[in-house]
Amino acid sequence: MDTDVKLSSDESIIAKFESDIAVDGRYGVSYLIITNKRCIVCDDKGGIVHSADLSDISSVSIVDYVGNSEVKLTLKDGRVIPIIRFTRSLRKEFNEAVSLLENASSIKAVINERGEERERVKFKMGPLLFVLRFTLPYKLALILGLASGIAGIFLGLLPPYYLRILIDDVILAQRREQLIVIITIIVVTQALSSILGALRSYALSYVSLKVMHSIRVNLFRHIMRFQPNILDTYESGRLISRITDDASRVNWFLSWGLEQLLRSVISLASVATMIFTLDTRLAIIASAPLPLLIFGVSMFSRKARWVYHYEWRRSTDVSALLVDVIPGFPVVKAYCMEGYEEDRLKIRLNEVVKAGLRSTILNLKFFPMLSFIISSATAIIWWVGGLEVLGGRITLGVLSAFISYVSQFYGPIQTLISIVEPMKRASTAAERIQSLMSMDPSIKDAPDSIDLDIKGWIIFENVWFGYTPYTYVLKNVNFEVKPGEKIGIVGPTGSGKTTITKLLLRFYDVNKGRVLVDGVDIRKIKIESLRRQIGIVSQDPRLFNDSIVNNIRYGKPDATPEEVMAAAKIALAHDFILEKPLRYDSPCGEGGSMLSGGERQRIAIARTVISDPKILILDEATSSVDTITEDGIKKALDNITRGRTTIIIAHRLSTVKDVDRLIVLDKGEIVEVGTHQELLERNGLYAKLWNTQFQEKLTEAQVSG
Amino acid sequence: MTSIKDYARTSFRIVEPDEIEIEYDGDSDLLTIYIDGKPYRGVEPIKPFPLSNPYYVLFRSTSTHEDICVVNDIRRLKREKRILLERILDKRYFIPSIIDVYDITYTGEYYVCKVKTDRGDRTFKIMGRRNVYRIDDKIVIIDVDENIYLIESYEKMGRKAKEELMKIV
Repeated sequence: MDTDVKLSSDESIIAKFESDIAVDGRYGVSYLIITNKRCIVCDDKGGIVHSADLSDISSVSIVDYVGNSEVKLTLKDGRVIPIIRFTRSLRKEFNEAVSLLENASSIKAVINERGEERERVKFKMGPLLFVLRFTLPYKLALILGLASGIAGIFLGLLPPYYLRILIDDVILAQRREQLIVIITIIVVTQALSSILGALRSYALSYVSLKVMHSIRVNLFRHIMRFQPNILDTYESGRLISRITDDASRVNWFLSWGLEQLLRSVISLASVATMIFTLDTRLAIIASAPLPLLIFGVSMFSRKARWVYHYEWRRSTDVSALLVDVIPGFPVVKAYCMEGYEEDRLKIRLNEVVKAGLRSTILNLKFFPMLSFIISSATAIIWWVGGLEVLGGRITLGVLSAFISYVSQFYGPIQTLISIVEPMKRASTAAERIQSLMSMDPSIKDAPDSIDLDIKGWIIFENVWFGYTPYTYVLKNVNFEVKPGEKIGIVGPTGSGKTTITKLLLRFYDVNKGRVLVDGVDIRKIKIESLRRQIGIVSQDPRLFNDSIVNNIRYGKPDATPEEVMAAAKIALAHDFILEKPLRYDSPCGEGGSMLSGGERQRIAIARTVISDPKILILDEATSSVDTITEDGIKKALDNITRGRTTIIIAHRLSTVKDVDRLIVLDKGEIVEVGTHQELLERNGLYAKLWNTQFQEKLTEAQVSG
Repeated sequence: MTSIKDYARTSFRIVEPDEIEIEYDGDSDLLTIYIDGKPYRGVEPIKPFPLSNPYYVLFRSTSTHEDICVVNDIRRLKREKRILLERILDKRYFIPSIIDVYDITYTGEYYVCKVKTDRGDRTFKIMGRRNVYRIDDKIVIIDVDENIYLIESYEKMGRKAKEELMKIV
């Protein structure tokens, strides 16, 4: 279509977005084209419907309607032009289009950002070579394993050779005294072969386990370099699957596949030499199926790659569902949704079965046919060889040795064919590991980032942010928190309160504007330095499956026992912990499941307090405790928060009414700032929220009274 | 700004072994302690970290729930004070150490463990791995009746015991 659009000589297309609604409002096609000069909308035939110079555009927006949305341009002369409609299915794509349009100068940055966290498809190194890189620290063991395997192959060539001597030169020649010598040689050869086999297995198993360990550690470390937003791209189940399942498949390749591959190739070459030495004519017959086999295997490999990728993805769908549902077990039970969840699992398991059958059918299309070709060749050799023996052209010993070598010849071929499938699986697993390892986090330390000893001065300057491009959760947010100040952030659900803390911790970067700490843009502060000095207690804190003391020490691994207990005391956790049989050594259970919500929250407060943060964020930190306990925690926290910059986010306004200043957010914008009293007098949103909560309490009191 | 270190210092007084005197508080399981000559009655000795730091003891008033002081390592106390304290702690923290494992059998519902402990032979039931958790090299087992057993070091257990323990660890 774009070939029909006439562009000026210095104009080039930057991006093209296809809509699924035609210009006439019916399902169809229309296009939004962004060039370096203009924004153009075309119909399906390439006819230009709208065209606006980028320099004339003041702002761009998307207006959502039922079932469809529309991009609107606001021009600098004030005109608003609706340019293109699309169904909600394309919301994400057109969000990106709007982001591109919105600021011509940010085009490059946006493109980079989009590309950065995508997996790279092409790699300089093949996936299996990539995995082999991990064997370098264990190269001696690997060489030992492979060398003993290869030595075993050569030893394996001896018995048929002695078999020929045994038949022709000993048994048929009636040389009784040679019998014991030949038999002894055969037995010793077999014994040596067994010893080498054991050595090979141990050495390769050692290497593969060590490599699997190192791949898992590296993958884990790599994932930890990302920010929590990686979970926007990958479900946690999929990440877990890469660390566990994929690493196991790579383990198979190293402990078994690689050795089998080398063994088969070497034994094929050496046996081929032997059979050609014994009888060239029969050797040619034996080699005849090889081109067919090579062709078959290459056809299979080509098809198998996507089939196995597809099968793997279906398996990870199951892992992802289980990782989601099992921790949410109480919710499933509470809503009696066992049947629903079972159905969801069944659907995914059915997909696994279907994908498995698909790969089985693919295997069946190739492997039985290849085996039949091999068997046919062996039968032909028996036939031709038999005639040769009967005709007296070769001896029975030569034929026996030849047949024995031919079985050794086809053995590796069959092994090579049979390992194609698991090899492809290992290769696709390695590819997935490689792709994840090659990803680069979008949020990372800038080369010139600094360590900063934070005093606690925070500025949000014209901050715009959205989790998806252009859908802003925070809109032009401006505020300042002075060192040691205690502020409260309040507002209705979805107003962007928690997002502010995520930006401060740099889990995400702002779309526009800056966040400054002590006057330094946080993108110029080392992430670790920043986060070590900011403590956060969230509404639903995650505890780890460890003891209480270790969970508290998560905030300060070298904390003394007194510091642990002091932190717990501040969080009003000390007393309930001492009532548990194992006190601070009591287990918390998975995610803190062995503790109540209030207990979990208080331990999370202790974990934050112990880290002595310069900036303390309490994000609905006391929402799970009763008001009496909350009051106790507030009093205890007063000791620790005095002189420390503290941001308290709360729905329950009584929690924050005593702070130095309150910031009221609504739909991502700051609508009011002031003390509790000032805001009540202003009679705005805060006063409304306060009166509603106060009224609710009054009603509750009247009902209970 | 009060740091956690300062708060800990003011909240928990660490006393040296010679700064504290200990005696029974009547016939009960409580103590009277003297610090700098000042008596504190009705004091309960608590091991806040009974597994990870078993010689660390907190002395707490049973009436006011005030944390009076801590002793970092009760093994440094003089013999008579230590014996007196250990007698009470021994009863309060009955955590036998498993020194050998005879047999672990799965019945379909429970794992039945027959073990030798430093307090004698014992048979107990656990539900599964949920009842077993590790603290460093130590393994803690809590049976279905909430009795607690400790394996000081899995690595130091005998070969047979390790094989049996593999069923539950």
